[in-house]
Amino acid sequence: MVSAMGSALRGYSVTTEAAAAATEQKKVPAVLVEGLVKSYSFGRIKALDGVNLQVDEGDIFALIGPNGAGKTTLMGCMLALLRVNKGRVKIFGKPADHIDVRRVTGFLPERPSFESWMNAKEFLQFHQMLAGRSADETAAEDIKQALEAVELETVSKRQISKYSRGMLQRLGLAQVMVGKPKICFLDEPTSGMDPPGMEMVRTLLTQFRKQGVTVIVNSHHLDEIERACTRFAFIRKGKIMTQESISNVASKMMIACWAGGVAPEAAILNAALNECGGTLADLNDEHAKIMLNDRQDASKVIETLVKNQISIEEIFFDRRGLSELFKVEVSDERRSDDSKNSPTGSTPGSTQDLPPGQTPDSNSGAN
Amino acid sequence: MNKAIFLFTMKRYFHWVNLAVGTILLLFCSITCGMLQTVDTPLTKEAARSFLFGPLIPIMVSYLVISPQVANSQRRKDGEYLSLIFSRPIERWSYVVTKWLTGSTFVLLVMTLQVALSYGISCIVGAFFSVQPGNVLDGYAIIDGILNTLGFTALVVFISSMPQRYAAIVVLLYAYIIFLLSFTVGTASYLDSLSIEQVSKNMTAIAQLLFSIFCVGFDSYHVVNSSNLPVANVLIYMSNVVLYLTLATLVMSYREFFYAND
Repeated sequence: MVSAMGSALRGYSVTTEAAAAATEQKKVPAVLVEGLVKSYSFGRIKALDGVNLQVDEGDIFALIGPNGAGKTTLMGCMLALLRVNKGRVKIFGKPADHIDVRRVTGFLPERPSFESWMNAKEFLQFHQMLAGRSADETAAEDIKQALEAVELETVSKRQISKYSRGMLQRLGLAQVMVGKPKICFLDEPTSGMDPPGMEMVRTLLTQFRKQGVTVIVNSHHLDEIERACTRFAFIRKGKIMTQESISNVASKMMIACWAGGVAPEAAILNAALNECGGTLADLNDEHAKIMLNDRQDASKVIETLVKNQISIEEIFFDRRGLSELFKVEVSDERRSDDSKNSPTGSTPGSTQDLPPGQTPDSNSGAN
Repeated sequence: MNKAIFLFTMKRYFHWVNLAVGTILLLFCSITCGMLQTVDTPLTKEAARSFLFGPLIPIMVSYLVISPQVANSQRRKDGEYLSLIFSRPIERWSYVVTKWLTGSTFVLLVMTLQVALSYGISCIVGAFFSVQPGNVLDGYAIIDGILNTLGFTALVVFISSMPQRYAAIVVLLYAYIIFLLSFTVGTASYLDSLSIEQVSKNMTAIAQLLFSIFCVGFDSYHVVNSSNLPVANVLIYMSNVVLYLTLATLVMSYREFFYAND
């Protein structure tokens, strides 16, 4: 089934124009966000606070962060659906609300809200016309291929009101495809999807990547992001905390296993790590997870731990970097909130601040 | 004008639920008008004339506002669907003008049907009772029908361009003004009958002012047959239509379309 889907996607021709334009505009970033400030309720709620972001053409870029961090607002600003208070957003060097930008934009909203009285085919025809693609020679074939790619060809004449959540999501993706976009904004594309659906999204993202289409994904499925995306930005409280390549993060999480199953005290470990620029992400009787600022710091960390007489049996890099980073960022946020609220403050870096059995990300579930 | 919006909005208006409601209204107005046409008195002729388009235009145009909700079984959050539409290469003014023309075209189509049905009914009833059906459709009625449709649709497009909570406030405000207008006209007539002419005149002037500002109706018979050349009436009508469409475009341009759950 997946291979059939893959071949349908391979047959789908978003490529030609996107690839041609890619060579033309090589130096212009696909998305450039500078000093973006966006607030609601007459400035009382600051959703975005001086966001700077650059997404290069052909990147599959993920926006991650806890609920209410400002991911959807940032996407809304990039799509010019929301007006910014300060700063600017440029897509391929043009203002985000420029009509030329919309000609090459594909968008999948977080909660698909489509014309439920139409059937899938009519809906895609409608969006193809809106995107100005209905006069294309391959228009009818594009709709057929898009429906095949999202596996809705057998129900294409069923009224949309009778679709399940997952089917709506698939239809939304097909809607993105028929516009032959150069840049896609996908807000929670795997939301409500079954495992084959998630696999389909991954295949689609890989296909977009091969075709040079820039994709901005907002998702809580970190494992999916790690598999399909090239770069990411972590947003917290309306600010970009981290912005780098997925491969870089994946190699920056170290796991240190304690010799004889004797774990050092969190305070001692934190003090040692403070010397060498590491951050404690997790600590238990068997091992600790340490986030490095740079991969080059690994030897320094080992040296410091040994110097502090912390017995290590084994140390290695963890491949599950993004989810660990998420944990670190969210626990940092909670610690800073706690220290603001508590008069005595709390031990930085210690996961023992949390109630027993609760991991730092236990409150950061998907929307 | 955007072809996709025009075609698919028109298709939505012809959704079976909308058609069912439209047919009931159409039959009601057509039967009433058709029956009245067969009674040959000045009063019934006037009534038939007013029933030709009178109730149909505001009802049909108002119905255009709720027809998307009727056609869509899923309840949609304000601005959710528009966020998807405006991610496409569509200018906001083009969206407004297309909606205005689509709404007007639909109502004019229904009105044409109504004229045909009214005449059909009056002919059948007239033949049954051996009465010659009267002709109430003249050039004035056609012009009024078209212009009033364009005017009312512009007003409705303006109201529906606003976020739902503001639209509700504007509709209430508008209803209050219409009530005030009716009240003023009624009181003026009463005072006139009591020969309190000056007050009556003043009230009529106020009513005329309210009418000119807030109403988008047009009376071509009055305009053509007025002793003074009523350029002002034509200008006020046109400026109102332009004003509502401009306001709708401005609202659409400055509106934010937030689509998130949280």
